[in-house]
Amino acid sequence: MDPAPTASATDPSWRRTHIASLLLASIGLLPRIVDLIPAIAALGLSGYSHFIPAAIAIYFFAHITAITLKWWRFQYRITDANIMLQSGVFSRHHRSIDFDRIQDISIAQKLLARTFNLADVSIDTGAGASAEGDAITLSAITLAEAHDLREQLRRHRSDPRLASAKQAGDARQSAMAGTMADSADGNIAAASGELLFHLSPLRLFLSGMLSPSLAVFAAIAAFAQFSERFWPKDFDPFSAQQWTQWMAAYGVKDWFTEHRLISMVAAVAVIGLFSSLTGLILTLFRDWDYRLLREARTLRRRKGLTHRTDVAITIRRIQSAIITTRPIRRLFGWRELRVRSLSSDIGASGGGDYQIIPFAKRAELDPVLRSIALQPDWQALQWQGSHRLIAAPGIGAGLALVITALFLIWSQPPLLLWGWLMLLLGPLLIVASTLRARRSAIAWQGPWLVIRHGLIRPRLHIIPCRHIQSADIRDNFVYRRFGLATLALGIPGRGRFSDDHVPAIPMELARSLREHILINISDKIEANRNI
Amino acid sequence: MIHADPIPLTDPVAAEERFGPDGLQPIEKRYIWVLRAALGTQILFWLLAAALAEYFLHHRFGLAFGAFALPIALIGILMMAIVPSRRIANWGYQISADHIRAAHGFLFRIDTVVPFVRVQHIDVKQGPLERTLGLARLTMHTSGALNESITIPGLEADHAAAMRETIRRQILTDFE
Repeated sequence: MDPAPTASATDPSWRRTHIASLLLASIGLLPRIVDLIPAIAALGLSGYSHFIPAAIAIYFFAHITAITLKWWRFQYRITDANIMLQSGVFSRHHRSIDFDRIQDISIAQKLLARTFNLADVSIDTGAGASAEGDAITLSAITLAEAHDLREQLRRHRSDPRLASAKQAGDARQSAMAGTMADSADGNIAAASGELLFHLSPLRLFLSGMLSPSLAVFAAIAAFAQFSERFWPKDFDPFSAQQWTQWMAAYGVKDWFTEHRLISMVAAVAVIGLFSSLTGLILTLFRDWDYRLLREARTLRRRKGLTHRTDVAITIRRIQSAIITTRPIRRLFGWRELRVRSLSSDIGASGGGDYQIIPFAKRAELDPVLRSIALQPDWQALQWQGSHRLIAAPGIGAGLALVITALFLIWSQPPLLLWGWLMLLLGPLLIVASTLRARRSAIAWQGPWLVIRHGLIRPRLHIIPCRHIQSADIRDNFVYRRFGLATLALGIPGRGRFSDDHVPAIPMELARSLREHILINISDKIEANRNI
Repeated sequence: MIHADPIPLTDPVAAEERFGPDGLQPIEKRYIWVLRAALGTQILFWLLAAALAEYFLHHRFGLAFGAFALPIALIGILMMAIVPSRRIANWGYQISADHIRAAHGFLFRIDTVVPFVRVQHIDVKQGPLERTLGLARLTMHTSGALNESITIPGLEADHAAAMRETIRRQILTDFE
């Protein structure tokens, strides 16, 4: 039996999370009232509707009791070497996490928590991104405590006595010692943290205006559907006839029919303005005061207006980088930088893919890439595009659309509108897939591979050969005729398959690239052994 | 430019085995029984479904018995004759000084290379049928998003164990 639980009652070093976390958790219950709807409906329908308030009261009482018990029984303790946690109402669960095992600590503050100056702390241990229980969370401790914890971790790392003790360790530990040395020379930088990127208010505004969001229209449409039953009987907002009648009634119909072009332009302008404004508001909240700091061994990303997060990304765990952009902003040369890491992003279930720069010019990304050792020599890259064959499925589908469209237009007058629509879409699909096929390419240079793809949202994936875990050469009965193959790479961290493979490159090239990757990996291992 | 020096083939476990045209070593022919059993179970399942359908349709619409089952049986026999042997013939693996290669498939061929240092852990698995045949499967796990695990089936059980040892010795805990 562990003596800790009995000692905890008196030992002051065991702490509970802030009492306000009870309030936060209780407020978190409110949205969950939907769970009760079936029960309320059942009570109402079976004629026991007078029990409904009691049912709601019992529901809340039970949950708040559970929350309180959980809070009471959850305790943590920070020593100079580890964090200890104990939790569980009936069965006790003890956990101790050594500082040596902690990769880094991320801090998030939601709106309500900010009013109490509280923060959620998630502790990233080295277990892979997909491992269950990887991120350990301390919810609602004071912000000061969160910063203390981080400071303590940093002190622990830079303690020279600990570092030298580590160096006496075995081969596994030698990798750790490497990072100790890292943090020793990076300590001055760690004190301040070098600011790699800051999103200025002007840029924030610009990025908001350039990321139009149709969310507001979706919301309006959803609301219109929902509120249908409360409207007058003969009102249908989706009926064109209705609107025409109204316009006639108000005497503006003639003006609209005479100035069709102006009306259409105005409609487009209104939609554009509204979606820009929605985008702006969303962006303001999301990317407010966006900062990227480079510390000794981590990148630190801070952002958010109401829900402020402070995410630590251990540089050693970064596997590859992705330069991407979005439809409208790309026309003005704005780019976004993401990194694929072994740890998962805060609050993101998918994990593995962190945005580190939301909005910057292409040239501004290079210093950041250099700082995390992911900058290839762009000029020296040799490119090889995919064979145009990969456009074939898209072209085929486009042709099929055109043929169907012609058939409809010739012989099915009632479906004429659909016919014209398909006649428009078919060639568009053909052009798009041809252009898209031309975007798909791979480049190599020394220890670097770069994979490019995507037409509307182009992505450029920068892969150091040393992080490649496996390499596939895939071909099929069609590719074989053309001497083509697909090169697919296994890269750690969750990512999109489209980032990790390049289709239809010459078989010979695929083979030599694979050989090249293998040589790079074994070279690196040799280098490690020699140290 | 790429320096494509050929990597010397130092196969430590099966030195003078026959190498395929692609430098690949074939898997054991006995593995065909495992494939046949798997395919047979599938066909049996379809036959059962066909029989059930025919039973009901016969009573309602007077469908002749064997309308579904006969074609399925014919296709099944044809597949039994062709698929397992072709699958075996298209499987191959190769152990080199620092990596392992596994390839399979014909219409859609996948040829995977995993450096030994990138193997996270290795399993040797054996089903009941494989045990009676003296075969085993070698499964290697990597931390990549793609190829989380690579399996080479139809290996001589001793050979699989030896391969596991070879790879295990090469695994270096690399801290990245």
